[in-house]
Amino acid sequence: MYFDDFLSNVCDSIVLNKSSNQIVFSKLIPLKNKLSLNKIENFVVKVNEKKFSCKIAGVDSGFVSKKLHFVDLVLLKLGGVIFSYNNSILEKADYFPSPALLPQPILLKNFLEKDEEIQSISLIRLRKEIQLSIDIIKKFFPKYLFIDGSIVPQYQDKPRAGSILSDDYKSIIDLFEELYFVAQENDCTLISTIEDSRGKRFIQLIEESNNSDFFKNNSLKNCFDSLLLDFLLNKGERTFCFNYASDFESHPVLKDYKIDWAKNIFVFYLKASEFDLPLRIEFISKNNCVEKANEIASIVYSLSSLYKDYSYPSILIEADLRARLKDDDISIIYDKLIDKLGPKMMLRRNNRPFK
Amino acid sequence: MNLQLGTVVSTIDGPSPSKFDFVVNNGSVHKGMFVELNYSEGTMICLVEELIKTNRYFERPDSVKTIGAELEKNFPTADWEFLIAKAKPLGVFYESLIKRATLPPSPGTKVFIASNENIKKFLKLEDNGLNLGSIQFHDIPLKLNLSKLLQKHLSVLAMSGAGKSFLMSVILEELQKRSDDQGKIATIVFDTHGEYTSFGEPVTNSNFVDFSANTRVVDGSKIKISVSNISPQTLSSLLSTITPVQKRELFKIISKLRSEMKSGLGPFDLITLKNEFSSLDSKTAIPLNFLVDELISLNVFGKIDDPSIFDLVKPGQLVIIDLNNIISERKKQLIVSYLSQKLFNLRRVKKVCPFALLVEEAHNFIPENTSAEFALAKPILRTIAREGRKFGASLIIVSQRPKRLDTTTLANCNTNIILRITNPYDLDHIKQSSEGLDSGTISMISALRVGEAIIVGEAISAPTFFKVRMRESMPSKHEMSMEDAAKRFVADDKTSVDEISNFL
Repeated sequence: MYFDDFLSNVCDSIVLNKSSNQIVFSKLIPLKNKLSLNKIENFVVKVNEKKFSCKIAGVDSGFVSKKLHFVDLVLLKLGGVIFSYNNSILEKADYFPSPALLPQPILLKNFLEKDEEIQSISLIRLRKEIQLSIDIIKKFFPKYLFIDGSIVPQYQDKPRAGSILSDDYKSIIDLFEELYFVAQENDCTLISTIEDSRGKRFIQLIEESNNSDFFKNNSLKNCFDSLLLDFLLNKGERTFCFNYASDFESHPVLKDYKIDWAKNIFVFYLKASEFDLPLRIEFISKNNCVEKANEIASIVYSLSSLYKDYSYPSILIEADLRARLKDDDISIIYDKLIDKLGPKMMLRRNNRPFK
Repeated sequence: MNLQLGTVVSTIDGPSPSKFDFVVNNGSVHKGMFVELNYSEGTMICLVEELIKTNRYFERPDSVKTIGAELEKNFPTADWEFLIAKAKPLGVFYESLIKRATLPPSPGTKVFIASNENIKKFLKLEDNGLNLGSIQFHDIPLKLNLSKLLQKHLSVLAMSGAGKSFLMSVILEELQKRSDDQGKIATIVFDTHGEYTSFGEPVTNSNFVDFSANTRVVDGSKIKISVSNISPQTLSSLLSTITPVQKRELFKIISKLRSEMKSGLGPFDLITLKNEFSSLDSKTAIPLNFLVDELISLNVFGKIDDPSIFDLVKPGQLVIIDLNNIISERKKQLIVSYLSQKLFNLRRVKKVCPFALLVEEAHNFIPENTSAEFALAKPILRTIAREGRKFGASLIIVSQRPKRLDTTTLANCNTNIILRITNPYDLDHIKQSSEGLDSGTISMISALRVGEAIIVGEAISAPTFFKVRMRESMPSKHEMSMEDAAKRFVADDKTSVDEISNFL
């Protein structure tokens, strides 16, 4: 009974929230055909599908970790996939470094604070992924390279001042900038897609641009962009493109970038499937960001609209398949380590006398 | 070095000493193929029992249905299709011995196609054995030792049209072709449909081998059974409604006639027997007369056996008892029962050479559940199945309805050759009667094509799939398509009309 009541309350709360949101969202529908804040395109733009014949690459990584006394064991698997298309039909798939990937075991620094442990894993993962992306661009010269996740490190990846990880973080920023540069030099467009975005920048922009009483009384602060845009966008539509941050000089991560890169990172949302939330897309454009957004939207839409209820670029689905790790995968190494070093290495909680 | 086919993989329940999976990465692997691998216990010979293809892109039916062919245009589906073979270890070569596997191969062990030499050695094939065909996927002649194939009896089971008679013709050819050095046995065929009579016909087409010189075809409808040779018990058992009183009187009369025969009056027949009934009172004589008349109407009894068993059964001789022209099931049963009994009795005392007795449509003669009255041959055929091996009397039973076959007889057939069978009841019955067949092998039987068979049991070390070789003898004239049969009927009919017209 207890759980039934709980579930019922949760459902009621979600339904209520959704319906009250929809009342607010519906007031925004007239915005769709109005000129957006970039003054070039409307708030909502129709995506034009185009046939393409080129190489498209995707990079993803998977990781699992296990704690021991004194050390943390991490298993990381990197997958690079390069699809060659002819007239939008996949002709050939290449894998880098190989189709059959072996996970890399990594020992984490053993004197990290709790928050630093998570950041350390994330930074290692980012380093490996970005380096793999650079290698793929140099080796395969894809026209587009998809990154699973944001095109910049996340705020939570940034160590606090004085952290032992600060140097690592700085080198990651350098590596990101190297990736942007290598992509630019090789005429490769970097596209990052965020699977389950919690971004609020679009809502922020709408609120900033509207000072009506309506927004003063009906706050959208508790809502994510993707939720609002799921209501606003139809399949095959995208939002206008906008800067990653309004003030990149005060943005916690972008301020660490060279300004030339920081000011040219853009975002838009695209609804590729009827019954899935819009995808957040991030890209870099030094020239005409709208033209680039149109080009990217066309490619992303073609690669992501296969299923009615799921939208994600096929190249990243494939990369994820190759890089995915299961919790069991680390057990082989973990068990062998325990065999060699003895059960004292195990955390007490993992070494109960019975289960 | 043999072709490497794949690598042993680790699964939830394997590898174990009794089964393992390997992922196929080279060459073509087929169900029923022999493979080998080297591991700690020696060279393991295994049989591929099942093949499974996996492809994770097609695991979710809803996704596959939604985008269908688009899946292949967007994902490298073909690159990630895996073929998994499920193999059963059959034995291990260890210092020239074949032993049972007691340890599993390690995951990662390379799997190779089994070498012809190892297959021959493992299956104990003989260069001078009976050549039944070739082992599937290996191109090795399946040459079997005669004694191992026949001594403990053979069953050939298949659905109609799967190639039973074709296979039996091949076996008959092989028996006929044996030299004196190899040891020749006599073969007696109870041919219910006249399918083997062509063995007795001189060959006119050079594409066929002539076996007629050593073949004797006997028209079943003309066979005579000597009444004086039948025991009183057997004779009385043929009289279905005989009462104890009638039986007692019959025994007395037979005893008298036998004494007279020995004193010089010679053998007697049913008419002589009937004449003796006049001495009985009418209450006994009338029903006995009626019963014996029934036997006389079968037209199978006489004073002496014709033909004589001694004329028929000779080393290397093939005797076809053509029962095709006999309509009465009872008469067929009588002939099969009498000749089988006589052959077995004579062989027990070594008066005839070792023989193989082939019973076509065996479910009619050795049925599982029928009263003794309608299964006259069942007791003797059962006896041969049970005791024949000690005396060199071999039974070959051929049937398209294994379910209706006597389980005891079938279980005594230590070698089974099974062609295509799809009836689940028949398959279940075979599984229950044959120790060498497990569920995996049984499932493969229904997928066999015409002319393909599996042999299991005494004659061979492991269940083996083979393709029956081409026959060398002339095909039976009974093997005719419906179209040809229809054309012939019209032609024969026209000839008859013409002949009548000419006569008139």
